[in-house]
Amino acid sequence: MPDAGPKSEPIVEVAGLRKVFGEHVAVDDVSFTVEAGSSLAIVGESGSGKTTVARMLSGLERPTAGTIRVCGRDRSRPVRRAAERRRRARELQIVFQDPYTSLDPREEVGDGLLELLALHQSERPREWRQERLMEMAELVGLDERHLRSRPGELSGGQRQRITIARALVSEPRIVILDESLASLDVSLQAQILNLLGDIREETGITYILISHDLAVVLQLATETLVMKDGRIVESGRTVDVLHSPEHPYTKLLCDSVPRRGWKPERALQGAESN
Amino acid sequence: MSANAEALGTVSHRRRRLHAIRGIGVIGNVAAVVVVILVVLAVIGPLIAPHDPNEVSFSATYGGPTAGHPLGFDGTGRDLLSRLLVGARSSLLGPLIVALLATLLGTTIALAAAWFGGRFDAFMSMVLDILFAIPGLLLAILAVAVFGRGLTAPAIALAVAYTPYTARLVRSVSIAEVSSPYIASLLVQGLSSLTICRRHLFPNVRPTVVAQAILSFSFATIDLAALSYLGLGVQPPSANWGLMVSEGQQGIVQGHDAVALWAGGALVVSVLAINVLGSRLMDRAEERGR
Amino acid sequence: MSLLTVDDLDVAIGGTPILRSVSFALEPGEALGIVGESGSGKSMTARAIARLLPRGAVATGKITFDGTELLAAGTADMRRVRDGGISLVFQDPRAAINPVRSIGDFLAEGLRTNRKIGKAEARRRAVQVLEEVRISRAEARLAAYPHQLSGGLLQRVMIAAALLSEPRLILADEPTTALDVTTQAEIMAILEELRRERGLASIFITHDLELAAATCDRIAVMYAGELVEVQAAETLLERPHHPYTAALLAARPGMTERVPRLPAIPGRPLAAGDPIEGCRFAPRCPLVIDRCRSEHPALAPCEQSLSRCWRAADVKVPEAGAEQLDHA
Repeated sequence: MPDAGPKSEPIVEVAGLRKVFGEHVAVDDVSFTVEAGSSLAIVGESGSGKTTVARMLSGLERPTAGTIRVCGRDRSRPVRRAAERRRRARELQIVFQDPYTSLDPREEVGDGLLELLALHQSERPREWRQERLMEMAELVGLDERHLRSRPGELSGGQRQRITIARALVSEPRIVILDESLASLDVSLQAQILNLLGDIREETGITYILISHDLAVVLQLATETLVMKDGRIVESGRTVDVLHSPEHPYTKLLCDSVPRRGWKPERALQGAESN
Repeated sequence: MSANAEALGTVSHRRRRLHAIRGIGVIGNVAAVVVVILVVLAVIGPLIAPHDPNEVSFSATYGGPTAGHPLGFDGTGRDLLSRLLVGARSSLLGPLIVALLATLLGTTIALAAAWFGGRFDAFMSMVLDILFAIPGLLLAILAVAVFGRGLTAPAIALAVAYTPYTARLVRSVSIAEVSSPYIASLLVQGLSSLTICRRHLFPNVRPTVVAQAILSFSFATIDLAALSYLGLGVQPPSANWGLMVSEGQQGIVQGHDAVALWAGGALVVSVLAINVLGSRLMDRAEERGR
Repeated sequence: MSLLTVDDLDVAIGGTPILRSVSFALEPGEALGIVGESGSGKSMTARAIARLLPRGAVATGKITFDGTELLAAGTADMRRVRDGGISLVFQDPRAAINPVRSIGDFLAEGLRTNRKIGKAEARRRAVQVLEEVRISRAEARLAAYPHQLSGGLLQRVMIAAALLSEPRLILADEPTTALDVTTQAEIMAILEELRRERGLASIFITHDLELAAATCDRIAVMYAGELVEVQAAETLLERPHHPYTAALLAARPGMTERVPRLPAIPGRPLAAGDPIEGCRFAPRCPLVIDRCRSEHPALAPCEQSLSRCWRAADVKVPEAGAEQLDHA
């Protein structure tokens, strides 16, 4: 982002990223940087490659080509060494879309968090970890009773709070939110959006938001990339991208958002789909 | 709310332990009770047997029930009830070894194949396909031919033959589990593969593993009994239900069918109970799966 | 005369209420949006009308479609209602179509079995409806299989299939929720065009209040198993008369600017089965007074709206997602 105010340290640098599945090019020549403390939205529809980018950033997919640097260190290739994997975990975490499948169904959610606290805070005493667990629950607005529940006993919103708490256990500098709000009802979505804002204020965390929901993007992200068919078609400050889109696809996306006085015909004229 | 739900959960959980296994129906519960009785008999059978199973009273050959001998005598004049009770152990221990071994092997292969995927998975699938082509009983007979009669060789051979069934089923369940976002989250958290498999993946496929182990057990009961019947398994004069059916065969011709009937009945009831329980548990696991 | 009237509809599963006394009417050609969050009962209302209630569900009350009492209708009556009366469109088109049969087979099947129409004629009509939902090269598409079509295109095929029986009412349950936003706009535009050209009535079930308001004549808002507000779409966004409607409108982030804090609705939604005296929204309501906690309000007229609220007249107008509710 060339003119994004005073230069601060780039915390994520992606250059020439490419991912090919068989014959299909899912991500093609994607490059961007994210500055510490800012937040980037990657916007696009299904098949745009935005989720594949998130999976490559978090190490769940291996790039076919290109480089990913996070916190100044290369993570384009997977590592096996346990210490190195834990270090990566303390740099970047991810929260997925579906809170129903994102938690081990057989484990009390508090135990799940404790297991990860033990992994990332092994040098701290047990009592500290127990205390930290309660702090984290409080941070996401849950209490001891919730921690003693299994995922099946919690509502969708409560589960998503747990997955957010889980992403924060390792005290990462970056959290990827991969459509993490998409499956929530409007009233819960607002609660979680506020929560994410609070956490950012408290910790200075960097968000990378993967989303198709432009209103959510505007609310949470300072910078925005628009992806289509694996490529970046537009990027810039979120307000600029959403309010004066330049690429026809970005325009179509903005025109498709239902709002007061919106009529669906306009979008139809733009798209003569296959 | 959730505390309530949890409290309720714990209470009903306790009740379930005391009374019935929920979700497997009345027949399933009857089968469970039978299985428990069989296990108890296998453990304490020799202790409660009223007579020495090898004590022969020549005058009582094929004798009917008398005081102290409620089921009568077999063709050699040995107490039938005592032989049934003592035989429970070797008749059920063999299948237990087979089931445990096949489950251990099959589950390990399945979890590894699901976890590593790719070429390793393809290679293991090929190996399993080859094993599928060999009938278990045939492999066991071969093992006897090479290693001699008894319980060990056929049991190991059967375990190897059953492994692909367990592996195939557990693999398919595990693959669905491995692609679940919760596993991906744990990977990004930096947890080691072994820890994820042991603490998260395995507990989630355990119901399938348990159900399949029970089915292996029931198949092994029949196959081992068949080997004993053929004279390739446990050797006389040991008490064993399969062997007793074989010995009782001559009695049927002479009009004394009690030995074959009792031993055969014990086998049928065991297999039926274990089978019903296994398939009911399986259905329940499937229902609860996502 | 109304095309469809739902009168005092209650649905319960195993004694637990799912719907509580739902009543509304739909005029011929009218588009009604039923809006609510998960668990509000919006889908159950649709399923009751379509007589597709889950096993064990007991419905009482009256649903009258074009003179037929649906809850009491026999098989023959129901067949007539489904063929030429009410057609359905579901959320996930892939779950509603047989993956191993071609689009042509799928479309022709109903015509050939229900209406005893010949092969060539069925094919001609299939092409016709595909063109009506703006599918290009319709003739060639008949040979395609579901997996060869995108989600949006497949949903158009489902709408085309719904048109084949020449219905008077289309009941669409979250037809665009599984689709991308641009595709959603296409589908909504097509549905609107069809309504205009064919004079179809429609019931559109959605969680998206703004989408419903943009595409329907009238909106019914549901909360915890009951209707809480019914109002013309035109005025609902400007003048909501139920605090829940107002809160929903305010909680959704806008497209104009970032707000420091969204006015979220505190607490969690009540389930329809939760027993409560008084208003079901009272525990989360910013306008709550003592009366709300003891007396259950009825759906009553207030200005141009029907609202289930003791303080309907006091509900404030939310400003494009930016305003703070007093309780926040």
